[in-house]
Amino acid sequence: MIEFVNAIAASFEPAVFGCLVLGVALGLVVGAIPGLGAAMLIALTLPITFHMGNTTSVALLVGEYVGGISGGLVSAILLNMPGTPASIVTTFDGFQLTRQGRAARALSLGIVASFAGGLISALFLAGLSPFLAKFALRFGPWEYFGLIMMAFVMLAALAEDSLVRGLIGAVLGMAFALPGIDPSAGHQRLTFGIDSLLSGFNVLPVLIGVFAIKQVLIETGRNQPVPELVQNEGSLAFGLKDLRKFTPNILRSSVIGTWVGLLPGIGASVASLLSYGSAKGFSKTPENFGKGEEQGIVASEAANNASVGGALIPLITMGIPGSVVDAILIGALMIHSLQPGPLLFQNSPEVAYGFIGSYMVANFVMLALMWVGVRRIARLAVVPNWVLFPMILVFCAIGAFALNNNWFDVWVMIGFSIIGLVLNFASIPLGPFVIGFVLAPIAEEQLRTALMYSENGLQGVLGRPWALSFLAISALSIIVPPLLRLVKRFRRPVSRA
Amino acid sequence: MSKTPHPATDLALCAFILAVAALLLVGASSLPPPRYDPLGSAAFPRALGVLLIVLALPIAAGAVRRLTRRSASLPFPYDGGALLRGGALFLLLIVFIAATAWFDVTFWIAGTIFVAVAGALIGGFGRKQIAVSTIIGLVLCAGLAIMFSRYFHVDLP
Repeated sequence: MIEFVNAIAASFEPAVFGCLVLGVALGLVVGAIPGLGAAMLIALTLPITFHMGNTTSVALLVGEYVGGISGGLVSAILLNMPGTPASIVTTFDGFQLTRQGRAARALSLGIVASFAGGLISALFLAGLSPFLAKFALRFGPWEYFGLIMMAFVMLAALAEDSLVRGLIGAVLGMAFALPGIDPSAGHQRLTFGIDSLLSGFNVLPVLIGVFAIKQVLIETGRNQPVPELVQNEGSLAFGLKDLRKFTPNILRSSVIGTWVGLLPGIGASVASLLSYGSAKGFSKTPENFGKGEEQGIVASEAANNASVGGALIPLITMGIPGSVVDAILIGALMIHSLQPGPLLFQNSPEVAYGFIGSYMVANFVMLALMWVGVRRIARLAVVPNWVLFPMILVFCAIGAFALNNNWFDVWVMIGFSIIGLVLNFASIPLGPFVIGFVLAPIAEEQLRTALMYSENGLQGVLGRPWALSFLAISALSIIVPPLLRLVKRFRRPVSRA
Repeated sequence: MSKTPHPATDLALCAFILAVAALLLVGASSLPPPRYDPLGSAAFPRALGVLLIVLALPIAAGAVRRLTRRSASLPFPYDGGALLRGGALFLLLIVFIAATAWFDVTFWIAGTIFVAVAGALIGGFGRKQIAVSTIIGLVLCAGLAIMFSRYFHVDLP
C-alpha cells in the first residue's frame, strides 16, 4: 500500500507530471485522428525516452496509452469516424446524438465514462497486481514458457477471424527475433555474415516500420478527404442526476472492460462491444440503441478505457502483453534494460508501481484535458494528411537513427515497413507478429533453461501443473474452434432433413 | 481484415513465408550441434521454419482453389492510383534516407525538401500546399536537428 501511495506521490513530481500531461495530450490528439493510434504514437516517442529516467518514461508512455484510447471518442462522436478501433461502438449512438444537435451531451457522457472506466480498472490494477506478481514468483521456466505459448495462441486465435493467419503472424514475428548472437550458446545465428545483425533486429525500428510507416503509406494510398467537423454548440455537463442514472452501467462496463483487457488478444474494441451488448440487454428500451441512446456511449467508453488497465495487469505482473500497445510497452521496458514480470516489483518497484500510479493519475489528467480542450482536440483531428504524414515520416527516420546513431536501424525500419505492408495486404494480424517478435527470445530462453534443469527432457513439464494447464489451454485454443466448425457443418444437413 | 484476401495476395504471402522458412532452415543447418543444453541454437529456427511451411500450405491450397474456381475473373483488389501514391511516397522516403545516409546531405536540408515534396505529393501540387509544407519542413527539421544534436547528443548528418 505504501508503495502505491509513494507511486501516486511520485507522479506529481514536476518532471513526471509534466511527462504525464504531455503524454495524455499527445495521445488525445493522435487518438482523435482517424487512422493513427496509441501504438504508432508510442513507437514514435520511444527514441525520446532513451534520454529520460525510468519513471518519466513510464509516465509519458502510459499517458500516451490512456490518451490514445480516450481520444478516439472525439472523432467517433463528432465525425462518425472512430479515431481508434476501440471507439467504433461509440459511433453507433454518439454520432446519432450529434446529428440531433446534442454533441456536447454525447461528449460529456463519453468523457466521464472514459474517466470512470479508467479509474475503476486502475483500482483493479492496484489491487491485483502486487498479489499476482507475488504468485507469479513461484513460476519457473516451464510455467513461463507455457504462459508465453498461451499468449501467442490466444492472440492468434482471437485477434482475427483466421487462426492460421494469426499463427503465421506469431511465427513470423518469432522468426525475425532469432538473428544475432545466441544468448545461451554464445555463437552467431542467422546473421549470414552481416555484422550489423550481431545484436539482432532492434525492437524500435521494427515497431516503427511495422506500425508507423506502414500506416502512413496505407492512409496515403486511401487518400480519404478530410472529414467535416460538426459544430457542437452547448457546454459540457455531468450532474449528480446523471451519476445516479449511469453508475450501474459504468460499473458493469468497467468490470467487463477490465476482465476482457486481462485476456491476451481480445482488445478494447471487443470490450466495448460486449459492454454495449450487455447495456442493451439490461435496458428497458433496447430499441433506442443505435439511435442516440446515452447508455450506449457510456457502456462503450467505460469498457474501452477499462480494458487498458486490465491489459496492464498481466503486462507488469508476468510480462505478458494483452495487446499490440502492451507489446510495445514491453519493448520499451526492454530498451530501458528492465524485464517486465514479477521481478519488476522486486528489482524496480519504482517502475512497477510507477505504471500503476501513472495510470491512475493519467485518467484524471485525461478528464481535465478533455473537459477543457475537447473542441480544440476535435479541430486538430481534421488536420489534413498532407500536413501530418510527412512530419510523421521524418520523426520515424530520426527516431530509428537516434537509437544507435547508425543508418542500419533506419534501413531495418524500411524493411519492416515493407513486411508490415505485405502482412496487411494478406490479412495477417500485426498483434501476434509484434508479440511474437518481442516474446520469442524469452520463450526460447525459458524452454532451453527448463530442459537444462529437467532430468526427463520434455516430460519434465508433466510435473508442473500450472505449465501443463497453460499448454493445455494453448492446445485447446487451436483444436477446439475447427472442431466446433466441423460439428456445426455435420449438424446442418440433419436439421434441414 | 476479416475478408479473405485476393488469391494473388495469398500466393505472394506464401512465397514470402517460404523464403523466410528457407532462410531459417539454411541458417540452422550451419549451426553447430548442442553442447550444454539439449535443444541447441538450431532447434528454434528449424522448428519455426517447418511450422511456417506447414502454415503456408492451407493458405496456398485455398488460394489455388479460389483461383481455379473463378479463373482470372477476379479483379485486382488495389486501386492503381492508391498504389502509385503510396509507392511514390515510399520511394521519396528512401531517397531522403539514402541522401542523408550515403551522400551526407545535411539532415535539415534533406528533411525540409522531403517534407515539402511529400506534402505536395499527398495534398496536390498547389501553391498553398508547397508553401505550407516547406515552412513546416524547415521549422520541424531545424528544430529536430538542434534538439537531437544539442540535448540528446545524437550526431545528425
